[in-house]
Amino acid sequence: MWILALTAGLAASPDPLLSALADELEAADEAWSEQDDAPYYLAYRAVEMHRFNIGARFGALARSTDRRNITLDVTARVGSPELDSTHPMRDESFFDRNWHRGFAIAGSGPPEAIRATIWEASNIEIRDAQEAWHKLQTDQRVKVDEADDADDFSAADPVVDLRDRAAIELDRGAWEEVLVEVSAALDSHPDIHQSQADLHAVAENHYLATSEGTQIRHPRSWLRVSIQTRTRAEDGMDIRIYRWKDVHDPAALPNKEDLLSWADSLVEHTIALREAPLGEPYDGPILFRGPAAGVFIHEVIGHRVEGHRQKDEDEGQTFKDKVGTKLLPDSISIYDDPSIEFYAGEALNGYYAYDQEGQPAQRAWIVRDGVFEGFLMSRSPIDIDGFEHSNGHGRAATLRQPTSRMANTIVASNNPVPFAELRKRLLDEVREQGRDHGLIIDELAGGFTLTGRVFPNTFNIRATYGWKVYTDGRPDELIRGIDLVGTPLVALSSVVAAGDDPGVFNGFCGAESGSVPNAAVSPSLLIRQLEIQKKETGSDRPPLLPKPKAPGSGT
Amino acid sequence: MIALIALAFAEDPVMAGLSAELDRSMAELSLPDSPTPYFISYRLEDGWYARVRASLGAIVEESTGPRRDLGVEVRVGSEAYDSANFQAGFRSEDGHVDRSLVIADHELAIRSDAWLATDQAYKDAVSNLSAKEAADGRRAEVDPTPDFAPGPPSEFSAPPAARPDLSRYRQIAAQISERFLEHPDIELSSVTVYGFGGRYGVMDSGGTQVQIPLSRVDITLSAQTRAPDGERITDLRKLHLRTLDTLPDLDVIATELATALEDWKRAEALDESYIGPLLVESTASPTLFRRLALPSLVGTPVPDRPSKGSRFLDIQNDSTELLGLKRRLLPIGWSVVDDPLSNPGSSAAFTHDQEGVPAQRVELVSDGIVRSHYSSRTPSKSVPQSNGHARGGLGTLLKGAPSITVVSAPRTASARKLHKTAMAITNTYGNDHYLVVRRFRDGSADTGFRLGPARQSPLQDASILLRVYGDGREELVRGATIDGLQRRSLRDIVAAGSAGTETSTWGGDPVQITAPAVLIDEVEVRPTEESAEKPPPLASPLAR
Repeated sequence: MWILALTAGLAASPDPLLSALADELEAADEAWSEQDDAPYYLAYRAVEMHRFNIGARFGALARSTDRRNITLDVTARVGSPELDSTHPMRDESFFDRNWHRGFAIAGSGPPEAIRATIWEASNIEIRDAQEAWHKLQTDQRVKVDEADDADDFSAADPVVDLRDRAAIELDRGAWEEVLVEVSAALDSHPDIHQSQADLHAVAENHYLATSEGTQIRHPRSWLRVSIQTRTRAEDGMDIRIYRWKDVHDPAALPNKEDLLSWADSLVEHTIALREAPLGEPYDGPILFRGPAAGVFIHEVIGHRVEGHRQKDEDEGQTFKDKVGTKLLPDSISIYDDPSIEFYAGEALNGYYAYDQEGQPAQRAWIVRDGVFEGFLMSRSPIDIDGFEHSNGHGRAATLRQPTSRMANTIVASNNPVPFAELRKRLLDEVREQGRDHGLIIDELAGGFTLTGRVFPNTFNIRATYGWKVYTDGRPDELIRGIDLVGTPLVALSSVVAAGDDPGVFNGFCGAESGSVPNAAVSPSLLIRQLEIQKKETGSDRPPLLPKPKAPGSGT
Repeated sequence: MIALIALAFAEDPVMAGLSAELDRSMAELSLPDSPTPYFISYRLEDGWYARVRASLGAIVEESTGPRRDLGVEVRVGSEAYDSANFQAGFRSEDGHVDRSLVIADHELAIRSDAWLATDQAYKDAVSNLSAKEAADGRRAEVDPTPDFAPGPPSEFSAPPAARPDLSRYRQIAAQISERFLEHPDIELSSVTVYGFGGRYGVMDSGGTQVQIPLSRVDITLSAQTRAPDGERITDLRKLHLRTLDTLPDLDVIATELATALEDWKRAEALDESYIGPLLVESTASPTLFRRLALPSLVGTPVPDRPSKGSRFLDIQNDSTELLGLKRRLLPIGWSVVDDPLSNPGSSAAFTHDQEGVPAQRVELVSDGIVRSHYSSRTPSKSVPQSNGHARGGLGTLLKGAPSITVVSAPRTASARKLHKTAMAITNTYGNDHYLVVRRFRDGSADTGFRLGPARQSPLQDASILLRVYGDGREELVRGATIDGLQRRSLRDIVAAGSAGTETSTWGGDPVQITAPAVLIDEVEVRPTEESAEKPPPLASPLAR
């Protein structure tokens, strides 16, 4: 179904880079096949990138750049799909073996010139793979058998799909003016020490040619407009707040009026936060608003259901034996679906047509109706029935080996509760636990999680701020300096209810295969019990002199 | 003149913004119970950059845009003993900070950037002075050399240099890189053109206000080939020009590079060790002196660290290669002179150094003996004040460094005479040939960064090494490692020939070195131990 007409595509729109990738792949495959330890799989991945980066601060243009480049990345596998040179060696960090070398390559010009770079990259990566294969064979002989004997590479049908190339039409001059004006608004308060307004715009064309016959070219466009403020509280805490919107089309960017309104709100909020008291350690009910709830799910369950972790003996494998086990209330489901471009009116950052292994994006159920259902899969199979093949989640940043990763992780509820009702239920929980207040978490800066066995299997969610919500009717109180910490199974068992307000958190997620774009989508979630710890604080004084002012407006 | 410069700076929103913030910081910056700044300096690089890389006629990468960076230096204490010249931890936080400035000519925004950088530099300086006092408190004796040299303020202003021309860069990179298509044995190649045009400015609390044009064009031709046994070589030809007005014929350079590599590919690998004379021709001798001699003439002391025995000492002092005054560096009669003003068209030339001190001619070596050092405003035991050679990064303590250096021999011999002398020495070893270095593989090397002290020779690799026989016959050799070329080897120079000039870099800044060909009476050259990788089963697409 995915095999389209290659010749028709190429004839309609000749692409020198794709032709060079395909031609050199064929030549390399043939030449190396006669050698000892020939690679059984070769993949050429190229990413053509055009980036705009505009930034303003203090009411002035700070940068405006325009860059183009193409990076080539070669994967070679020596051995067989059952056991190959990418297989982890004991005592070796995944980070040590997960790098490829990058090559800048031309997208046009004499074909032999483009092919010369591909040829050099192939030679180096194949030699690296052969060396890894020899080391692996010794490693296998001297170490005990592994607990998981799943293959290293699963079969997949080749795909041929040449899509239109991405390009971004952007009025740079107009955007420079907008950002300058917005940055002036951000700089309007004397206690906002640093601030900036930025626009990043990227048009990418992803190429993949493999020795299995896959030939893909697919586009990705991504734009982010963001504003941020930074101040330092009198106690030395460095306070930064960041607001952003990710879109796939310049026409969907917020306009100047929207951004000025954001700026006013951000300044007000930053100053309020600077004066806010520090949070205290706490364990009790917490209500996450939509986007923040998405990050909670990402850190608690998301990384732990990435397929390759289920075969790595250094990993905690929290959910490896949990298929069919009830984890969440019946009303709640979680899935990851990179084929969804928009949700609740927002562009999703984890959208793509194909993953970095050339597999089409697919929905993967993680939890259905409260019951754990499965894992996110790359082409690295695991020894659990039903997970022998990729489900389109083999992802990597440029120059990294793909592994299973999240894309658009979505929490859905078939019994949505309005936010006002969730708040009421939060206070009910607080009273039941004999407390005088609960917490609402609106906004997060991100988070991280430890999935290995050596360190505690915990997560840490970095709250930008929180609200203390009192049972006695006092106004909600803003607090700062808090992180949310916990362990995955306890945290999931504490999920009580979900709201009717799906929110989107677009970001980038870093792991072994590099930083990849993600979206976490969730309605608000009420958690019966979660722990708060104090965030680290800074020690520097705020700037000693007041911010400079324009001549005639004082010192 | 002073009034004119002050007016020019006042009308320039960048300089006016920096000047206002410098004045305010000097007057008002303070921490409780801590010293206030006694000296603040701002250094500015302001202009437009462009970079294009092409391979075999196609553009591979390109970028261009404005760039404006500020370096801030804050000193607390006094010139006799201050917060600089001491590094307490792994990173240097001694009152030097760099920061990008907004690219708009917006005075208040410029001030705001400078405000944040100065605040950080001042806090760092106060902390560093305290750490230095604590470390010196446990020393039996503290070095009495002052930390900073006073100097009269400089005033100078010249217009900025023109922006780089991206379209011209594209044309050069594409056109020259295409030449390598004619050489199928060159497996990989590229041509990179990088340029910056704008201004360098320095102002300080002592009254210095200097603005000089900043212009450079760096062109790098890179090519790689492989011998039949798998040994690979990548060689470079680097040009560091002030502008494209002095562009040499790049076709010739590209062809020379390709031909040299093709010749190298066909050369025999060295099969046994050699001991005997080495002739370093004038195409390689400037590299020899830049790597072996000039580091010994950098007078700026390495920042001190906590003393041995302190638990705060996390890494040992950096090694210094400084050779003191009255010590012999070169044979009798040899001299080394540096004059940044001697060739105004060179990319290495400047009228004022990066501290704003007017450039000066310095006699570093005469009769083979060290007489002076390259110096900045950081005094050393040998040179108490700057001689206008401060260079380095924006947010770092500047050091004395070469600019346009000429190494001269008391007498030079013709090529024929050098050959005869070399053969006479060769005969004493019972050999029938001697070795000649026509080019060191030094293209990417830069003394700004070196791993560890120079225990091993900093020059082991020649990209063009030849055997020369008595009848003048030449044979190219590859797979050789030159052992034992050290600073000390320079005293063993037995003859000199005609001079050659190279323009390269020192810590990223262009330098121009002129030096004569030299005959060294004994070196050891051995076959390279590293085994080459198997050749690939498929020839390069360019050779198919």
